[in-house]
Amino acid sequence: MIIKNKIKRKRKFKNKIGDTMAKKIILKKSERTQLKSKRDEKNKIGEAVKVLNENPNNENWAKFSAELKNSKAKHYKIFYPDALKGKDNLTKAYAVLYDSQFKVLFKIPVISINNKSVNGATIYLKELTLNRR
Amino acid sequence: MIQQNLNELENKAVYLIREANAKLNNIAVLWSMGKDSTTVLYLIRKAFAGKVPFPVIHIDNGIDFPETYEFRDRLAKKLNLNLIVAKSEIKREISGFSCCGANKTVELKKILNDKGFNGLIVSIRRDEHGIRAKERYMSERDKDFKWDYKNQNTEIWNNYVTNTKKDGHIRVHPILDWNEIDIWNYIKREKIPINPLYLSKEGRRFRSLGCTHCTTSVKSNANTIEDIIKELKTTKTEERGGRQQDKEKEYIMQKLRSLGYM
Repeated sequence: MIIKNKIKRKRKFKNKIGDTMAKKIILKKSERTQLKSKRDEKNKIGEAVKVLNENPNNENWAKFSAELKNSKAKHYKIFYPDALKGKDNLTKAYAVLYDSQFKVLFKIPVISINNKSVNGATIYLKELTLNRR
Repeated sequence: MIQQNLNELENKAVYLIREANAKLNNIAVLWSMGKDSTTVLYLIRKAFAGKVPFPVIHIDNGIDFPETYEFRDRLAKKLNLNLIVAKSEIKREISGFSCCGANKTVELKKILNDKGFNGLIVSIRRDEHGIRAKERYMSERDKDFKWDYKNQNTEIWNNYVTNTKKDGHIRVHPILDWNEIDIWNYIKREKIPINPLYLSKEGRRFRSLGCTHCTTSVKSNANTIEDIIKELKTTKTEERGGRQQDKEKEYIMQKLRSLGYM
């Protein structure tokens, strides 16, 4: 009887450990899933940024704009070459996007080029705020 | 004292706007989402029982601050404006002078010709720049947008130019004799919404707002309108000190205006 109870207790204990380990495995799996979905998100926006830098047309700006809403970007700052002296080329300007802690996230253009026609594109950043630091 | 001054300025501005409406048959308003042009929109609402009965034009070169675009869309919806956004193209190789000329003035000419506007309400003030001090309340432009600043009407006894030459237009300047502190006092009194970039953040704010290319911020801790008014009473820097185009040779600004740039 005592041995039976011992075995019972051992099994219960093992099951408890098993449950705990199972919980850990499940948790780790969900963490892994979360990490994976975060990575996928990062890759998605990373891809959108890469495509935008290569070809800043309206279509790619629209795709980037959709990904920007789900990203961590909160602030922006725009950089131009030497201001207004001599011949400036606005196509060299770029914007840097920062997260809420002002950590640098991406670098993107500030213009849109469609059929050799160049237009400004800062309107796509209107959900962000200026980094005045 | 301030209220009396503001009342007089407001009355004069409303009178000019109504006079323009009576004498010119196709008017538009230029709006850059700055404090001056937004004040003029609210003056127009005062003149016409809460409405803006004219089309509102934004000459958009695409490189304004994102906050400016957000402010534009929000206020246009709130005030139910008939907003016309004229998108100008950026030329690949441009100098400072050409930036404004190529980008904005060309587009303005196009839209005025397309829509047949013979009156344009513009929000410039005499105290902003020496060249603007030469303006009149109603200033004539010819079909090529040229401004003959050496040969203008004296405007005594409220005698304003309202007859345009063929294909020309009249620029109406309702806040020409306001100064910067009047604008801020009026904004405070009438609770006019403003672009958040005018308020200080991280120790910097924009005293005058242009596009991202030619505007820089100034050091300031003024993060309310009251603080801005206090700051203006003691500042020794000029309002447009952060605007690159004004740092170019003075004749550039005169040349821009004589060719039709705001």
